[in-house]
Amino acid sequence: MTMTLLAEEAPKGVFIFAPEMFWDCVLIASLFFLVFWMIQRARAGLPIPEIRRIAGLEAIDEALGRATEMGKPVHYSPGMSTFGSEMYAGLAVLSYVAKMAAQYDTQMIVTTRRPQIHPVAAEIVKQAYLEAGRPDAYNPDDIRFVSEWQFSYTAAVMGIFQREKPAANLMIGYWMAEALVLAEAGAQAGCIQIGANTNIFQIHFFIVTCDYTLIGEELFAASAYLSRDPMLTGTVVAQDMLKMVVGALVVIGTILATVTGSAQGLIDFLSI
Amino acid sequence: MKRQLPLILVAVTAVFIMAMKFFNFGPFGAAAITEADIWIQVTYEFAFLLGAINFTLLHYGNVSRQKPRWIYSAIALVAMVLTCIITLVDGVNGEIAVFLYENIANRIDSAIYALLGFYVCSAAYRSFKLKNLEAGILLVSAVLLMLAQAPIGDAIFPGISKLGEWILNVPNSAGMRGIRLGAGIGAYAASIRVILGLERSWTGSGS
Repeated sequence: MTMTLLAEEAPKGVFIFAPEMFWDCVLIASLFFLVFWMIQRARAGLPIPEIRRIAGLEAIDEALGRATEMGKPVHYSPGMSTFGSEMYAGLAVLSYVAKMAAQYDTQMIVTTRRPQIHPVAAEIVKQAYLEAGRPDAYNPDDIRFVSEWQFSYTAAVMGIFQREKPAANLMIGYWMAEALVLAEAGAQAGCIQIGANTNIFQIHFFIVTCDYTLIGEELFAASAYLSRDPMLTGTVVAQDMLKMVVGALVVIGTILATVTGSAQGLIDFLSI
Repeated sequence: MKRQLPLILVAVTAVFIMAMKFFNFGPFGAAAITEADIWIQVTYEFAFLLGAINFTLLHYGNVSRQKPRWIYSAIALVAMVLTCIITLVDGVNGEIAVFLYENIANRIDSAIYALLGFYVCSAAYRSFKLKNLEAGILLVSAVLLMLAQAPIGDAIFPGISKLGEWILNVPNSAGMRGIRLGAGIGAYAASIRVILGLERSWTGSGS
């Protein structure tokens, strides 16, 4: 994912409210409102709806258990993107996995493609080992910045699969053309694999090669799901509420298009 | 404070950028966003140094401790140092630097990319095994689409290309858009968690 040049996206014109940003602002404001509402409910001890069971996240414990039993390492990668929502989600899962690996005394290899992600990943793993009461087991050599080149990274991780034979491979983040190559190399190395991706052109590769796949938004629900923190869970519920509203708009648009032959009026309204 | 400062910085920066995006602040807004662009670039370039240090330390450790296959680490180190020296002396667009980039780095990159072709076959073999209902649907859809895309498909089953088009444009598009919609709203919610400091694992302190 390339870095966004913010200046190019800056609103132009003389309006106080940036043109064509009205509904974006409403969407974000609604989400903020819903999140605050859910946080207040959580703080007040009121019930928060539960998140449905996500098999891919439940399987993390199974993957780590398998690696521990086999005495082999776990490979983890937070994906190919730089800092963004997918990377934050990937790092949140890394924190959980690193704590589990520390508790089980299982070697954990973390590979990163972005140099700016590397120190963050290293700090997360180090802290996880510290919190698990095993700071001595933390090995900085296992947190590896490989290469910023997409396929150099891919080749290096394939090499790790072949040489170090991890028992589990977790690829949680944003993936591009390397998704299939890495997942297939992991499958051939005999890893139990959990993949997560929001890139709709690559998800299907994970579905066919990984044992478990987190599809799209499931990646963003991961930190809330794993932490079981009511406040984090509340934000996922808020996001689901907004999704229902957007879903209702889709249904209205479909009915309009079917009955009147065009939903252009709704599209124009939402393009304000 | 070590854990609080990044959270404050992220919240302030995010609110600032959102305000600049949603509201028009005239020349000040444009200048501020340009400045933010520069800061992002500088931070990004500085972080690259950290990656290079980790890369060097890791491979130097492999060589000095004579770990198995240390020779590859030595090659990686020599390649990195040589490329740095050549690029510094010859310039980024210098003849040797461009030669190295186009004839070694690019070629190796393309070779790894080309592996996709082989892996698609082995992944297809594994996924098309008829083990459950989902795999069955996948298999039938894939066979129909392959026939629809190939000229021979219409010759054997007239009209199959229309069916292929329908599968791509209706169920396939609907599924993809649903995932995209969910992921988009999920990304918004994830960003809000980070801005509000609810999601703190990236600071190394856990959620």
